[in-house]
Amino acid sequence: MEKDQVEEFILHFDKMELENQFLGMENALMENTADKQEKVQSLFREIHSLKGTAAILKIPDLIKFLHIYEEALGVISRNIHQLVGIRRKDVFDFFFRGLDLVERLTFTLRDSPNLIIKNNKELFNFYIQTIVDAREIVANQEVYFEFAALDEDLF
Amino acid sequence: MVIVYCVDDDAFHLGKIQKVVEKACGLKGINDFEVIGCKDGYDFLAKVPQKKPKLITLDINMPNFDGLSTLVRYKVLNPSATILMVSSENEAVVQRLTSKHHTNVDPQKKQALLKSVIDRVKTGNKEPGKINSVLEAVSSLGLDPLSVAMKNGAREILQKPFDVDQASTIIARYLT
Repeated sequence: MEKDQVEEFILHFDKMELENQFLGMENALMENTADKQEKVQSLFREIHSLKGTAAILKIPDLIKFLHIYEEALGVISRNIHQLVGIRRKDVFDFFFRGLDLVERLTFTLRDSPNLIIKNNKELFNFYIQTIVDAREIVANQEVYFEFAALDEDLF
Repeated sequence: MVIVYCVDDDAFHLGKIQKVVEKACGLKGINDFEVIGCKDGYDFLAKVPQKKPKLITLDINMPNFDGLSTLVRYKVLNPSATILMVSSENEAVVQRLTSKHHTNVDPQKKQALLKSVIDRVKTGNKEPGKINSVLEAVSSLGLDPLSVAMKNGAREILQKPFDVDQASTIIARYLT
C-alpha cells in the first residue's frame, strides 16, 4: 500500500462532521423526531460512500471494518419504518468508537503504510473488539432496538 | 456522438466510473463521445432530455432519488434505454443480515407491496405519508436490490470496487 492511498482516504473522512451526524441521529431516534428517517439514511449513505472509497483505494483493514460498520448502521437504516424504540442507548457509543477506530487506523497506516495491524497489539485489540461489537449488534438486533410489525399502509 | 450518463452522488466514485467509461470508449475506438455526470436521479432526469443517451450507469444508494427509483421512472420515459446498475459488492449480504423483521409478511405480499411503490414511482408523483422510493421499499421489505434492478430493466450490475480493465470491457460491450 502507498501512503498517498491513505492520504486520499483522509480527504474523504471528516470525523467531526460524521460525529455531528451521529449525534443528530441519536437525538432524532431517542426523541422519535419527524426527521429521524432523513438523518439515518443520510448518515448511512455517508458511511456507504466511505466504505466504497476505501475499496477503490484498496485499503484492506479499512474495507473490512467499514463493511461491518455499515452493516451495523444498516440495522437502523434498513429497518427505519419498523424501529419504534431504543432498548440499549449504549448502542450509539459503538458508532462513535467506530469513528475513533477509523481515525486511528487511517493515521497509523498513513505513518506506516506497510504496517501489519496484528503487529500493533493495542490497535489490533481495539480493531477486533470493535468488529466483535458490530457483529453483536447485527446478530442480536432486538437486544438493542425495539421493532414493530411492518405497516403495510406505507406502501 | 456517443452520450453516456453516469449517476452517482459521491464525486470521487463518479470520477472513477467516468474514467472507466472513457476507457471503454477508447477500447471501441470511439473518439466522439461525451460522459455526463449527474449527482442523483433528479439531476439525471433534468439533464437527459437534452442529449439522448447510448448508455446510463446508475449508482443505487443516492439521496433525493435513488438508483432503483430512477431506473423504474426512466424506463417509463425511455423503455429501450440501456442501464447498468452500480453496486457495492456486499449489497445483497447487507440486506440479508440487516432485515430480520419481515417474517410476518409472506413473499407474495412483499412483491405486491413493492409493486405498489414501483407503480407510484413510475408515475413521477409522490404521495404524502407513503414510501415514494423503490430502494426504501426494497430495504423495508428485506428484498435484494440487485434482483429488483434486474427485474425492472437493468441490463447488468457493475460491482464496486471496479477493476478498471474488467469494468471498461463490460461497458464497451454496450457501446456498439
